[in-house]
Amino acid sequence: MKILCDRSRLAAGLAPIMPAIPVKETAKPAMKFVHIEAKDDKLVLQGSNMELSIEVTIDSVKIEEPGRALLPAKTFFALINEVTDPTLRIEVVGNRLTLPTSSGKFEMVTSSAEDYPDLSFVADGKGLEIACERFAQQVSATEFACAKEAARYATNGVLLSVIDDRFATVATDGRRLAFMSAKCEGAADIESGWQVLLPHKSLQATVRAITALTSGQPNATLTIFVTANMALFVLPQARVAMTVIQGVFPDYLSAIPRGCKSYIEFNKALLEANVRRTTVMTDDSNPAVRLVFEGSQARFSSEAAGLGAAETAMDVTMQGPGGTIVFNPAFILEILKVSKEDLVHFEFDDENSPGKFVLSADEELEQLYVIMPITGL
Amino acid sequence: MVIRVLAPAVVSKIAAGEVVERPFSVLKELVENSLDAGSTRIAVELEEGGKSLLRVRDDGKGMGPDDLALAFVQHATSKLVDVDDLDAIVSLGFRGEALASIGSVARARIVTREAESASAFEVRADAGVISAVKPAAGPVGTLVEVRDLFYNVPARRRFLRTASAERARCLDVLTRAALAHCGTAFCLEGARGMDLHAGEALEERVAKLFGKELAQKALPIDYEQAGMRVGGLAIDPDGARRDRSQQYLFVNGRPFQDASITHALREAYREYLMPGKFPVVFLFLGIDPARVDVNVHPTKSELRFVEARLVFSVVRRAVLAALQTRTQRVGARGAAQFDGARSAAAAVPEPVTGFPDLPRGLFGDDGAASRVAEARGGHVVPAPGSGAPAPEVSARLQPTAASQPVTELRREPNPFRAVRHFLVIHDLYILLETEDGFSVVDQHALHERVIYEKLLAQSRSGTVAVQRLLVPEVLDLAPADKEALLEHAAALETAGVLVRDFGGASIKVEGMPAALRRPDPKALVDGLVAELRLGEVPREPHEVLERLHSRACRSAIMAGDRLTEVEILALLEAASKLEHPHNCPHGRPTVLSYSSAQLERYFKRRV
Repeated sequence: MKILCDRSRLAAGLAPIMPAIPVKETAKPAMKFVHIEAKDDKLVLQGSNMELSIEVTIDSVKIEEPGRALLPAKTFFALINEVTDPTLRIEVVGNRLTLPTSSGKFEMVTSSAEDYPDLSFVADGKGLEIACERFAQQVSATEFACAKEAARYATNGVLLSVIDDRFATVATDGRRLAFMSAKCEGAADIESGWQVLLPHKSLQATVRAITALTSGQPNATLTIFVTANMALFVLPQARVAMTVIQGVFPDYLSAIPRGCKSYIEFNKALLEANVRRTTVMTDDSNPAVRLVFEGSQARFSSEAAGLGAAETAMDVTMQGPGGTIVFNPAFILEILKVSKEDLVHFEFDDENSPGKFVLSADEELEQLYVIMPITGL
Repeated sequence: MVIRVLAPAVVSKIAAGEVVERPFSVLKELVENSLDAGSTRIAVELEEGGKSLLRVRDDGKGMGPDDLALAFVQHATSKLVDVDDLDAIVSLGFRGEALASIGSVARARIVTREAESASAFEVRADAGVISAVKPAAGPVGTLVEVRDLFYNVPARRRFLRTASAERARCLDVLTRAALAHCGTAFCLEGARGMDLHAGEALEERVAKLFGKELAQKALPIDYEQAGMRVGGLAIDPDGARRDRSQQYLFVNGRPFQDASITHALREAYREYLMPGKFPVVFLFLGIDPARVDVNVHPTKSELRFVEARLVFSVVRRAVLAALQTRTQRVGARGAAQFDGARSAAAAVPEPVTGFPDLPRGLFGDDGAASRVAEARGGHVVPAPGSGAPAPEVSARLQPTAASQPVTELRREPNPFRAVRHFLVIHDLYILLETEDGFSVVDQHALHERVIYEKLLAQSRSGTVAVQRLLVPEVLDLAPADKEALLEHAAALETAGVLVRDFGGASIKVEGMPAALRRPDPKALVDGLVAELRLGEVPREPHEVLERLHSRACRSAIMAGDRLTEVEILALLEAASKLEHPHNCPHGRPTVLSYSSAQLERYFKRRV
């Protein structure tokens, strides 16, 4: 294999693949390599950890001699990022890669491409087309709420679904829930009830890859195909395949409170500041901040044995009787982190019922978060 | 088929099979008789592991010719008079079966002499045929000789093991007897380790029988509650074994086996031992004889407690109290790994001294007959081979109202209180410079302990923060498990676990302790159900929490989690306040310490 290609394009093509390369030792050593194939003026790069496979195609590469090889992913990526020549001549002969540059010559041991498994990127049935930017936004706004422990497998991922003409993402770890849905033209062509549960780590890597590959292309779209075991994301220059989570996602719609008694409007920056301040006086064994709503004021308090106590207050706009509710402050802060609005709406009934934070509730976009309270204090 | 009444000879052989199984069971019965006779010295000889000859000589009170004539007669005993005596048995033997059984399956001979008698007397039994009592020569005390065991029951003889195997079992019997009766000298001919003097302390016996290294790891048990007294030695978790073979249990001086007590030991050591490791314990339980039934099995190795759960709880607390007195041994272990065997020997800390005197009246040097006397209101029944009346009975058998540990606790130093600098290695270990050397800390294990103790403190103060679940976790249980679980729903709720009936075979978990960062309702419920199946019902909310969290405390920072300097300082600050900083709730060590002296020896700065 002998190719001549643009260094920056090669580096940009490799970067999205790297999250799919296993960091730890793996039973299949070939997975530590990136598969590179040169043919038809294109360079196809593949990386996989068998749960997540990413393929990126780089056009307009001068192929002097077609072929394929397995290159140590980490080393090759580092090498391409270190050299400075705008154009690179890469030659693989036998199990040795040669890269001559203006500053010197590099050689690298490669492996036989025969050892690499055939990765499956099968597009089956009708796909859901969605804007890349919106997809990334929805996943990022919800995935942090999914469960991290392996024991509760069905909540270890983000549920992607189509509800009427909307595309929704939802995640929960059983204590809080993140939900975002938006109008999606592509959803009209998809049967309502379409849904797939995807592992959050693979999804995180996918969002990073999509963001990198579509940078500067605000109108870029992707198509999602779902089979019984796999989900496939197809972009113009890339394909991402991942195994789906087999399991029953909780009945989240019934857990979202509707028509609560008290409705509060917060200034986001002030809310965040107050929660942060009172969080100082919490610890691992007592991660709780008490919110008390009276009139036009919200009071925040916390107390930790052997540490101290905190109490702060801010003005709010409130409708309803108010009351008291206790939350894990980390859950509130994570919501505020993904909020782009200046105002945050909060609804709740009483100290034993879930509270709902609404960041957006218009026709175009619905973004809400439900947090279960802490009781017993 | 015709039903026949068996001949007395056949009946006695069958009965003998229940009591006399192998040489060690013969030895056990004879040693018990010697102890019941108030002996201060018991000497044993074995040939072919006791198969061809087993001889026990004691200096007890001996028997007169009239008692001797009945010695080999079945159900003839000096230790019981009427059926009421069975409710308060304190002598080691009482069934009147042993000598009769031995006499029916071997060639046996007894030579005995009372102190006031001018001569000794002898009686023989050969396959159940008992000779007349004849005068003989002999010192005060009793000699029992058993030759050719099972010579007339070939089927039994075939199942005897090799001489060395039988001898090993006999040695075990003597070991148990010697542990329980420190006031009596024991010797086994040809066994150098079994040459024990009368009046030794328990720790001396343990050192002689099991080695000084083990004895140095002994923590005294001394606890009293609900009219029960628990004494003995709990060996430091460092000395744990891969089996239960060194768990020696005694009730009122009688060796016994009991799954519930074994479980209590495991529970007490749970936080200190890894799975697959078993504690070494020498445990002596003193209890009113009326509260325990020893007449369960002919070999008397099994017994039943009237208040089994209470005994479980008292034993667990007693051993826990002992474990809380652990002295710093971690450094010694570190030295062994670090500096090789030579320096390990030098690095072993000073032997633990100041063992409180064990309640000898109860566990040690008084004769069992005395306890019979106590139980019978002072009426002493002369035992075969015994002469002297029972000494005064220990008042420790009397119930006490107070429930409190009697040992003054000696806390192990907290290694996190004098930290100067630290260094993180592989995002897993924290290297600490301490006042006298350095320590290596497992950040995950230490954080587990920090969380665990905070949760316990919350639970004890009744303020466990409960994180309600968005969607209750519905779990299916077997009917009995479900019923048992719901019965304890209130205690669980106080511990932060909200469990409700969900109809049918299901329950739902609606809330979990908020401090669990990675809650797993199923694991928690499974763990609790497993406890309930064992019949170990935690009574206090904090006990529930203790059990649950030691199984499911997975909220700690993980190996590989990168901690900021502030986080590490916070962790160390929290660790400096821990009650038990040396182990995580699952028993793994949290810290390994090296002293400056060990480093100096290793680097040859100090020769």
